Parts: sequence; structure tokens; C-alpha cells
Amino acid sequence: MANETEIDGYRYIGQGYNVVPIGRHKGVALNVTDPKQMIALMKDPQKIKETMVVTPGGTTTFVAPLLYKKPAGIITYAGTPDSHLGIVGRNFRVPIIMTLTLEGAESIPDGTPLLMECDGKLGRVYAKMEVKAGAQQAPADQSPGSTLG
Amino acid sequence: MLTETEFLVFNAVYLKKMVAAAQIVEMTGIGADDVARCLEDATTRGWVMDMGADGVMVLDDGAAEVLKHYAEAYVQQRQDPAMTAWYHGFEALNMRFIAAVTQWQESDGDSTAERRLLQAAERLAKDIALLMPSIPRYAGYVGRLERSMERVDLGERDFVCNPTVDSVHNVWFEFHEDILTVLGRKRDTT
Repeated sequence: MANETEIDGYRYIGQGYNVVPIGRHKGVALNVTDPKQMIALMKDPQKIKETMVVTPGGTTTFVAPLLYKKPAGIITYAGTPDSHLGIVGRNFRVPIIMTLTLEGAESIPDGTPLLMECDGKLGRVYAKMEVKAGAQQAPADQSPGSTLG
Repeated sequence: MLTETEFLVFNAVYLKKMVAAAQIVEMTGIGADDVARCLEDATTRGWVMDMGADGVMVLDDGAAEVLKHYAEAYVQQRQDPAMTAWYHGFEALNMRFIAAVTQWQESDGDSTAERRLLQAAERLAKDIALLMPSIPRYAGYVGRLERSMERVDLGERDFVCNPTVDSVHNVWFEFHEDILTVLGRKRDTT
């Protein structure tokens, strides 16, 4: 069910634009900010499948090769589904949430167990991590423009 | 400065980030032996990393060499107001194309969306021709766009936007990266 504060022990931490409506997916967070990290990940096919890549960019240029390896998910802090990354992600049917707005947390530490709920226009991210009290209330699904800049 | 052959090979790696030698041959029309020699040289220099069956991946030093070549080779183009005006026109066309491809995907191949994206691709092919006196290698993009559009016309849906073939979207995306780099511009999020 959508809009829950907690799912299977994962607590709501934020939402962003959903690229492909493909339901719930679980994985482990890995912040990928430079090509060396990406190359290390690319060399471990099993780890890729379990990894939810958290990346700052909203373009496909940085994370494109990872999509070919079907990561557990991709979370970006910029970009929209109407973009090249959105197009490529839809094609591979990889869970992608773009322009994530965190609520009650400033970042997602590496190794954090994540759950992505990819339904509707907005995708929600849940995590097994410390979240500031009172901040994690999953909002109702709205048009992206009403909640995200 | 890189030779023309080296630039075309390394630029293909730079644009795709990770690519197999056979794809570079298809993209550039350069012979397999020359491509293999360039990639071997680039691997030795630490410009690309051999990823086995996946091909090679561009490394920071390799990307820097390609960007240096662009900066040296396209000084005039970067100062040409006509090029800047051309790019502004392309931005509007790019928005229309991305919207049409997105609609095509979300509608599972709507024929109206397909017509719109092909119209945008035809328009881009004509617009690129305007740049060819200044950048002759852009003829390669026109040829690739035309071949991918033909495959879509023949009903091969993968050639709309499947990243694993030389699809219309793939060629478009690479051209967009290329013209941005020619002009020394940063990509926005589309």
C-alpha cells in the first residue's frame, strides 16, 4: 500500500520522480560519485544486482554503463523522467527515482538497506537508518511539480 | 594532438563511456585493426580500462585527452555566433524528441508518438547537414540516424530507443554529447 510511513521495517526517508512503475524493490545503498567507484562496482556483477546506486547527477552520462548490468535501483538527486536517463532506464526496466528529496535525513550512508516503491508519478524511498523524529511522514501521491522543484 | 583516427576512436569511447571494439567499428567506419591498435595504445596509457566482454571503459585521463582535443580543434566553432544560434534551435528540438520518445515508451509504442519522434530525427538529420561544412565528421551521425530510422520504419522497435543497438535515441544522445563538447557547454538534465 502506498503512502505508508514504514514498510517491512524500512522507514520512509523521501520521494522523487518515479521513472518506471514496477512496484517495490530492495537493495543496499552505494553512493557513486566518481568513475573509479563505478568501475569497481562494474567488476562485481553480483554486487551490482544487490546495489541501489545513489548518485548526484541527473544525466545518463555518469551512470549509463551501470544500467546495462541491471542494478537493484538508481536514485539521483537531480533530473526528471523526461530525460535521456529516464528513457534508458525505462528501456532496461531498472527502478529509478530521480530528484530525491530527503526528509529527516541529509544523506543516505553506504550500506543502508533501502526499499524503493516505484508506483505512480512519485517514487518513495524507505530505509533502515536513523531518521530525525517527526520528519518521516509519507505524503500522498501528487503531481511532481507540486512537491518537487 | 590526437590523429583523426585516434580522435574518432577515443571519442566513441568517451561518448558511450563503455563500448566494445565492434561497436566502434560500426559507429566510425574505421577498420577493426586500427580500432584494436588505438584501444591497445589507450589501455597502455591508462586512458581506457579493458572490461573484458563489455569492451573498454573510458578513464579520467582518457576523457581529459578527448576534451583537450575538442578544445584545440573547435576554437573557431566555439566563437561562432551561428553555432550558438544553431544550438539554441537544437535545444527546442531536443525537448520535443525526448517528450515523444517518453510518450512512445509509456504508451507501449503509440503510432502518433512514433511519428513525432521520427519527424524530430528527420529534422535533426537535416539540421546537422548545416554543420557539416564546419564539422565534416558529422556526416557520420546523419548516416547513423538515417539507418536507425529505416529500421524503425521496417517495424524494428528496438531501433527507437534500445541502448544496446544503434537506435535513434542512442545516436541522438551521442550527437547531443558531441555538440555540447564541441561548444564547450555543460549538459543540463535532459
